[in-house]
Amino acid sequence: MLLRSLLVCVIVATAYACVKDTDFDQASDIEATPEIELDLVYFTLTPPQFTLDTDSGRPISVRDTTDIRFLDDSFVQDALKRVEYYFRFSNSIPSEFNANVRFLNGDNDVRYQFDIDVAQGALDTPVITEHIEILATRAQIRRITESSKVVVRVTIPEAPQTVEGFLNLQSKGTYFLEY
Amino acid sequence: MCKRSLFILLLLIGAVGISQNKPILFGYEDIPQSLMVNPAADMPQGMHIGIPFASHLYVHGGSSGASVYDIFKDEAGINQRVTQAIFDLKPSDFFAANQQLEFINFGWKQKQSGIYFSGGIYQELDVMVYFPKDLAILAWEGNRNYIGKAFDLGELSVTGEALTVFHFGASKKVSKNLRLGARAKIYSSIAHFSSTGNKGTFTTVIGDGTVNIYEHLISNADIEVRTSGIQALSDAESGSATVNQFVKRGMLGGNLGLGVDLGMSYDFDKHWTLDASILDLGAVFHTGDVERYESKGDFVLNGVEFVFPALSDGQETVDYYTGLTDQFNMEVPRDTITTGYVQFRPTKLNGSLTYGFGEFGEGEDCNCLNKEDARWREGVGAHFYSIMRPKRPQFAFSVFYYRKLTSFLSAKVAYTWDEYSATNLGMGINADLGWVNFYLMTDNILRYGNLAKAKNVSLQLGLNLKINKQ
Repeated sequence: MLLRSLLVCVIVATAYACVKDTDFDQASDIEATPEIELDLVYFTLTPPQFTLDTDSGRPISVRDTTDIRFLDDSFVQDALKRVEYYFRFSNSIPSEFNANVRFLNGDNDVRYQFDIDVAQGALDTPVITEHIEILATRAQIRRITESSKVVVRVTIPEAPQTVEGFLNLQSKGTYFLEY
Repeated sequence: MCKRSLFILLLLIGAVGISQNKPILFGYEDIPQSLMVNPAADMPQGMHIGIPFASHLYVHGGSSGASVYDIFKDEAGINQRVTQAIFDLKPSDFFAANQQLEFINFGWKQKQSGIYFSGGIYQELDVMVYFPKDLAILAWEGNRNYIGKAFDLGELSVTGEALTVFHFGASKKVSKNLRLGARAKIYSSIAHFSSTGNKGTFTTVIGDGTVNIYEHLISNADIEVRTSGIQALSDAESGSATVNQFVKRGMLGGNLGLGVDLGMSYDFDKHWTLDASILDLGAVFHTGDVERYESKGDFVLNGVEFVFPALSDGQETVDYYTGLTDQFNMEVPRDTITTGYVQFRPTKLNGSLTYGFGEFGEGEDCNCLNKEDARWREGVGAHFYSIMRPKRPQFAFSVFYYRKLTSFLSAKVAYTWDEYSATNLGMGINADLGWVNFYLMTDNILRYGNLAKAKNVSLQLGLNLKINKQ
């Protein structure tokens, strides 16, 4: 008798089995928000690399560039919401420097740039200069995701007085994505 | 609002704590398809013919970890629930789906020998995905809050296959107490993919004396994805061409394999019976349309080092980015190879111990648990099930109760414990209306009030003709 009753219940339950108290439309609200830490560029410069241009007398600068092709990837363009670039200079050269960081598009047009004033160092005690560049507005993000290259130009206002010491840069980006 | 989405839900999330566990069908000898889970099953009828494409439909799939309701409950905060699920699930948790559809099934008892021969063709789809927890965390939250954590690339473990099975078997009583059965199988693989046994880690460590802020390390990576038949299906240029390719590969036109099912049934005495079977002991030999992707190695990424080369006017700058990607490709090479491989089928083990009792009254026509000397109306027992899976075997344990309700109607209930659920009540019914045999079985009926809360739901049903009952 018990089994027969259970059987009837099963048949009825099977016929009326349902999914309730759920909202599958919420699937469109699911959003991953990863925060990615990624090294950017690094270098170590020494005074002999800053050679004086005696003819022009202009400040001496060195520059280098690299592609960063993932930035203008269509996925990143859609998902990137905020970027924080962190630059840390360690300077043991007794001179100030200026670092200009530029992000260029494929046609080498500047899409975003900023400057960092690097504090004068000391031979026995390297001086640390830190800079955080935050890009959070829609316009800033659009400019950065139109870029595919980064250029760093380091300028010394006058020729270094020593061949000793170094200027070291370490840098990283923190990419805040939503997808 | 109650939505009638039983079938949709079954297809989307379905059953399984343990996929392909059929504790109700096993030993349910009123149903001809019980031969498919124990080739030694004792068929009461003289002959059966499955209604083509309707003799056995089985859908089964699900999650060992979170239910649909856990994620999609009708409340705000779905992203918090997804986050919670990601952290609650373990790498050993899995999502699985299994579907079987019989094209034909037939069987007959040869009177002289007493052997019950049976055969047929069925199609099967089986997908198994372990939860790659570390990769999910990396994709969901990134590495920022996990500096120093080694994300385990080895948690990536997936298998999937679609195939057609041609089979023929025999069940024979070899002594007073013992019945043996065997079934030979030819597997015709339609498509297969798997990525198991992977290794490696991805770690971001903060540098101490390193050249840049971090070191991004890929260590001991050894990843392989094996596919067969996928290219042939994806190369088809139209929907009908895809269907044609699908049918061709399923009808012995693709990669083939061989397997066997073995079974036994032993009566200890008038009441006690031990049944056991091993299913799909075999392999598919993938020799054609194979593509295997391998990647292995170690790599350290520190970003791009500027060397500030002294360049003359018009001279190209150093292409650091290409150098970096070239170095990555050299140190973690990715190869595509077409060498064949052997895929072992997920072998299943079944075992049950049954106590039969309750004779039918005089004049009642019953085959019941037809053990020659005993025609039991009821049976109670325990069932054990195991299936080989990529990471480890999975187990399930059930207790069941069978009862012949009338001369044409019987039912069986089973309560199953497996590694992830201890509340799975399933039930099946079988009806013999003249020659027509109909059966229906389902799992997790305690969750039928709201299937979204079930991690386990399965359904199997079918129609046969049973002729010349004995």
